[in-house]
Amino acid sequence: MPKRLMYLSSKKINHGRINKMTDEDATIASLKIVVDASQLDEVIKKLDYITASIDKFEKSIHKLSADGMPECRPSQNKSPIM
Amino acid sequence: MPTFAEQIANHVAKYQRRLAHVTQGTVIMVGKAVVERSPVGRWELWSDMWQKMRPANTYRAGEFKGSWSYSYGGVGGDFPSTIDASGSTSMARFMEVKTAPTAARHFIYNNAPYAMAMETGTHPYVSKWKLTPPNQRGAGAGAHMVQLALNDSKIFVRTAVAQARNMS
Repeated sequence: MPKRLMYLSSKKINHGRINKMTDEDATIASLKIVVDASQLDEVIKKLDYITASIDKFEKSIHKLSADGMPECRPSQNKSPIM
Repeated sequence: MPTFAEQIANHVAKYQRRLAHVTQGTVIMVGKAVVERSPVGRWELWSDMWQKMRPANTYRAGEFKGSWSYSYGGVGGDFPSTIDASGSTSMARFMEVKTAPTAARHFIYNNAPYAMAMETGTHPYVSKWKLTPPNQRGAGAGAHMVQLALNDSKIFVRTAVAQARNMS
């Protein structure tokens, strides 16, 4: 017999009547608090997606440079309006 | 100088650390509140009958306070039955949240067979059962440590968020 049920059975002798009780009932007698952070999964996935996307984007620019394409850099020429 | 991708990665890592801190901080603060409010047995308040059945030299208070546990994903079925009136053993168990996944359901639980009675003062399945006066508040008065901890839960989350904002 599980310890929990043994305890309740002893109470039956000492204190009074136990209503019909199952193992599940005995488990319910425990106390629990849940801090549900499972919805953060979506946020973390999006953060990971951002990192991967930016990394991929930057590598694609490097690849263009390695292939002999002109690097993307700000123009040294002064703007006509300056 | 870090590349653009590295800068973004650093920002993302920072936000992940902040998210983890909010979750871990909340779990630890809720756990601390529930342990601090958990009553410890006081043999001197027992009835004469119970004192005769269980002499003082055979009783060590602190089983309930020392038996709080932590798990994530699902609630555990264990009852460590640790005698610790200070509650530090229970607090040490809550620190396991620091190695747990952030995005999960985190459980703080106490599987003592009399746990619900400690909360409410009455036993859910045993009629005529009353808790020996905890904290001298009278027969049948529960400690309501879970309810009181949950009442403060918004403060715990806000505190954890404020702390996370200061993280670099």
